[in-house]
Amino acid sequence: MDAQFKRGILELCVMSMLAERDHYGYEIIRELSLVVDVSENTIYPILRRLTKEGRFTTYLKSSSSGAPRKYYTMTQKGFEHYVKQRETWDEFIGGVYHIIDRGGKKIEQIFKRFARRTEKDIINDN
Amino acid sequence: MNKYLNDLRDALKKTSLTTIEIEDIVNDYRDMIENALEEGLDPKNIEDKFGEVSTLAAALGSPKEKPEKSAEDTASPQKETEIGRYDVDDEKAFEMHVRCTHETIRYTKTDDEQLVVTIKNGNAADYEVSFKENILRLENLNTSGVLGSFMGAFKSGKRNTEFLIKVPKSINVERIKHHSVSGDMMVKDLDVVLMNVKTTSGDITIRGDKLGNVRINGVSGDLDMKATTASNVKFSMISGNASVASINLEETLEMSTVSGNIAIREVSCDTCYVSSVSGDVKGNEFYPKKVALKSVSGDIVIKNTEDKPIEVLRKKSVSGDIKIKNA
Repeated sequence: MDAQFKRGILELCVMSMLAERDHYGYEIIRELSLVVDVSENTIYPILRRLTKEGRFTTYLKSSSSGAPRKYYTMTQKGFEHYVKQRETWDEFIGGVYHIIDRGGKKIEQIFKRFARRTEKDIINDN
Repeated sequence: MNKYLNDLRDALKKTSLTTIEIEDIVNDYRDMIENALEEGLDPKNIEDKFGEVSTLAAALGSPKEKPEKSAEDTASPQKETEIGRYDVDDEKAFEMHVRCTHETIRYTKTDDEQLVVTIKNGNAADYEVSFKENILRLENLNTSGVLGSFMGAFKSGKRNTEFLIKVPKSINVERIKHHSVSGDMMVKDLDVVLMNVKTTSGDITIRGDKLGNVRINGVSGDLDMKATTASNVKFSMISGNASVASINLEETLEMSTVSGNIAIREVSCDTCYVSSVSGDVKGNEFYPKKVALKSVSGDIVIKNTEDKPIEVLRKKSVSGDIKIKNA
């Protein structure tokens, strides 16, 4: 996947998590790595940049068992930014879905089409 | 862990970052790695989880993005400003083509003899409004094609821009072509022969008397439609809810939803096609002559008080309930 594109999506994921509730750094990395391949670690730079830009603020909270956790909180500016990004994403994915749906809305329908098409091809071949 | 942190520090020193920033980052990493180890991360997998120090340093040390301009000026409520006034030829078909992103667009009727367009809470310079060959065009200049609206949504700062398009009472609208991203659309008291609406997250409200063919594509926005008569209505939504009420349709009503619910009340039509994945479909006083119902896990229930025959063309469901009840 194009790196720029991936970064954009990851940024949106990070913001979505923080729009839900405060998270600490490793928690974000851990949860995201379950769904996307983030081994080339791009999460922390995103957190740092958005914090610098005033979209997140941070606070430390000691954990029961050792190292303190740095929690990230979304600011009002962050929410405004999130809404814009989210809109862009919704528009993009909405457009993509209008096209994707043309392939068939459900797997079942795609299979049917596939069966019908390949049948036709066999007939043509003969 | 210390080796990773030292490597990281060395890599960061090769970038433009200051010593203070470098120590700040290394501290963050120390905490995160400790959190990770406490939660059971194998020390061998530190680099796997946290990334190669060189790529990390490149990402952190790379030229920073320009900070955004100061928070958007929350403009004081503006009043309506007229931005266009046109003579519509009632002998020719009159159309309206709108392509916008976040703006609320209201289409309505006026006693005025001219077509009037007004803007509220927005900068008219961001839009192009024209009237040529009896077609009104309103376009957000930042928008052209999907990619354009992609950028448009980024650039457009103001959130509550509203357009009012007032059509003279005597004029019949041949067509409304409306594309929007997150802006709401409202049509009130207009007779429209052909309506094509496409929106992502904007809500659509339609109140009409006589409608012709209506086609709506939505993703997460809701649809609320009430009219007296219409010929054909076809809409498809992904997660938005739809409500259709008080319409006598001459021909077909076609509805498809993925997870949104559909409510139908006091509607009659010739043929109705319903397709739902997980959304529920509820019909009250809903009298199609023929009906085809399809659902994966959503329930489709029609409850009527009058005993009019409904011919079921197709009925298919995986785990949803499909019921037609006549009292």
